[in-house]
Amino acid sequence: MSSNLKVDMEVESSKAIYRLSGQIDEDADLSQINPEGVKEVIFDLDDVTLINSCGIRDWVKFQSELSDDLKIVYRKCPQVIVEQLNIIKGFIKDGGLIESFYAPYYNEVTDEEVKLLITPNEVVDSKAPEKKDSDGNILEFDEIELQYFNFLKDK
Amino acid sequence: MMRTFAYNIEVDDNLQEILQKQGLLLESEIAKSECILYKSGIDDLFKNIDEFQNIKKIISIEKIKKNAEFSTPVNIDKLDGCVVHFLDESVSEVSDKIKAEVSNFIDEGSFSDLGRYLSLVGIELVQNALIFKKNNKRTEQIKLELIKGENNYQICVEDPFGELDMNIFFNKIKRAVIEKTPEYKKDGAGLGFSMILQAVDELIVKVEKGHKTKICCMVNKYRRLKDYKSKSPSVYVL
Repeated sequence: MSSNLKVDMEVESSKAIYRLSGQIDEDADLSQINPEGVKEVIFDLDDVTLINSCGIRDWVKFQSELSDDLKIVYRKCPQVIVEQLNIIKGFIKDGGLIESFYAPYYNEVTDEEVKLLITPNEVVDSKAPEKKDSDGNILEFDEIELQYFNFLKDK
Repeated sequence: MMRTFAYNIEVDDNLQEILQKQGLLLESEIAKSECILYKSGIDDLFKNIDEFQNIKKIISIEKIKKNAEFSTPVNIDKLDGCVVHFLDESVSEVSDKIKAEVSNFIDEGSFSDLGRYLSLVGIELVQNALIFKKNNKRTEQIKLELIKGENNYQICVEDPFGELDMNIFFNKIKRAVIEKTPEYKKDGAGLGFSMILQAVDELIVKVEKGHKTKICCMVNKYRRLKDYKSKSPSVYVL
């Protein structure tokens, strides 16, 4: 069975970094992520392009089976992942840390969309951090703040 | 006149007049209603309504402000567009086909992720039909149509089974919305349909028992993600 999900792994002493790219669905082989012998796992999700309902189901099950002793970090979560963080219980492991994620902004001057990588600490009271383009124009947050940052409400 | 339950909406004389013009008659009991009118947040409606047995329409009050013909869905029988058939493809193959078709079909000027949402709708609908087909050892094809209207896109998926039970359909969405968890069920657990509902402006379902189920999703051509995320979906059972 062909899969649209590619997983690259890099090990740095006691830390394993898994870079996922493509689509998480029922064809995705999550068993190739097998973090044995490490204390910390980093999921770099930058290149995940789509996740369907069966992919969500398999991902949640996979997360629940990860050892409670592991430190788990989620890095560069794209919008497609943030949307699931906000609606699906168990999408990330209890105690897992979201290191960074993308937020959609809109440049009214150039009529362009931009996705900016931000950290949870930049979001205060569910307000998007102010961002500017290279000419100093203020960008408009292009989502509904209460919805998009809902996953941070307990941080 | 279609009996209509107004969920969390204060109905004044003006609204009552508009509803009457649309053939909708206010009803205080949901169990006697065929139509539900809601204010915002369709998830909230699904969390709090238990009775879907007779429901034919779920309409956002926002549509009243934007469109005088709010109680009428797009016509799904007169549509003509690009057609793709599916037989026994894997989900990766289904996804690749749909994403390729959608990317050819989106106009410039829509926000960049609209294609992803449209693809997801198509993938979920086709996958649901293929799972039913496999579970029931059926051999017929599943048809997907992509239609570009002047102001909207439509994705329609048709199967020759006609086995979709709307009461079960609504209650599966309710479960997914309340529990916010996926479930392992061979015929699906509602998460896919709840994702579809969040992604569309209109969800139109036509079931000819034992012959055909056609699900048509309409999404307006939004220029901005923020506007797309502010929409309130409507559901029509024909």
